[in-house]
Amino acid sequence: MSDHEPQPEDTRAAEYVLGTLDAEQRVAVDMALQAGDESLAREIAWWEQRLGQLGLELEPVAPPAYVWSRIALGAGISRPSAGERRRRGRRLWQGLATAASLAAVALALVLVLGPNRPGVDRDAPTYASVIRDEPTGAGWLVTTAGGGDRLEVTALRGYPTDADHSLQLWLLPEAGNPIPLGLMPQAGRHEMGLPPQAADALSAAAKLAVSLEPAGGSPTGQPTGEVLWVEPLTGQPG
Amino acid sequence: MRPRASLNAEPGQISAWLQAVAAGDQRAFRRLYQATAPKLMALLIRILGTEEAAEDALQDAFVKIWQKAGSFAPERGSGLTWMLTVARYQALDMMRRRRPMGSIDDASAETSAALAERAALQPENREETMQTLVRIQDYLGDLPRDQRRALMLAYFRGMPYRELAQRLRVPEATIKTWVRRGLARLRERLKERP
Repeated sequence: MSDHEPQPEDTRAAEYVLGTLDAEQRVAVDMALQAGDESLAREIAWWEQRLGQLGLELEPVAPPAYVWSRIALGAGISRPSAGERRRRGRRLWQGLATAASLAAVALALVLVLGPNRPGVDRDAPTYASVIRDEPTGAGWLVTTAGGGDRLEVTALRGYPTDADHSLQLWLLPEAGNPIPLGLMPQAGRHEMGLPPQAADALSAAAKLAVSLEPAGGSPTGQPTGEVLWVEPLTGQPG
Repeated sequence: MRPRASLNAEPGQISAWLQAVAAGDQRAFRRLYQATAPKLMALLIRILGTEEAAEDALQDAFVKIWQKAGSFAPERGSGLTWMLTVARYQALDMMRRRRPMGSIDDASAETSAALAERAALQPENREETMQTLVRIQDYLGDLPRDQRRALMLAYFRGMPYRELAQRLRVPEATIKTWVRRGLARLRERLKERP
């Protein structure tokens, strides 16, 4: 069946799509759908297609360019430049495997070496990530420290930007908007304090991202420029 | 004023991109966004009233499209309409969170006032609004004015009957009758359309 014509006496599906049901009625429809009411699902799909035509009549409006960057972050995907894409495509899987194993090695090193390093709590480093740019060899080692209230970011090799831009690090929680963490160093080790919201969102399902922002960082608190890299966090087992 | 953009993809292409997105194709997702985001943005601005709120809803809608493209069924309709539905539900959820139950919030009232003012003051927008209105009225056909107005307000504002009644200053039972009669006539009119 390519289509389904609703029964005249039942306006529930149409009203659900239209949005006129009150909260209780809407929940009842949601529960019926979750319970597998196929007839209701077909009726709703029929009305979604018909009433959806109203939205097609509006004049299109181009969204600002930064919205795509935010979507790419929210979806957990990056948007490399065309040149990078060609170069990275060939080594994508190799790079991912390498980054994941490097992160695991980095975490293991931090855990083992932690007690001998002044100022580092043995229990602190529970997550690590390696952010790498395959074509240039630029990269950073990122680990949690201080019981999870800060990050240590060590530049393995810098990724130069012009004076008008900075590289900004973001935490991508499992759900919700990106959380700004700080600016990426071009050399050496740099500490970033983790706001409570970010510390609470640390998990093996979270990711780190780096975007190209105006000098000093995003003026909005959300990514506004191109997202250059997205990498997973590797967590301490157990 | 933001630049306008046109939809630059055939319906079959959008369905194909959605199916590729369901398989995790990031390039298809990017192309799908470029081709359809202006349409979704227009609807979200119309519902939410501000470009800032529309951008937030657009972001959340496309993340859902990325995650749920596998639930799109081409045999049930067009890909673009499915995407518009995802975006519209996202906007309605935002509106429901924004306003207290059973009342019309100030933001909604301000939004409508702002839209009306913008449409009245800017000739280009006034023309756009009139052309859009004509197209929507053509789609709704010969519904009586009250039924058409109630349906449009419900579709573009997502208001429960109680709030629609307050907005149109008529008893709730009256607005239910208008909407249900309008839906019944619309069903008769549209059942032959694809």
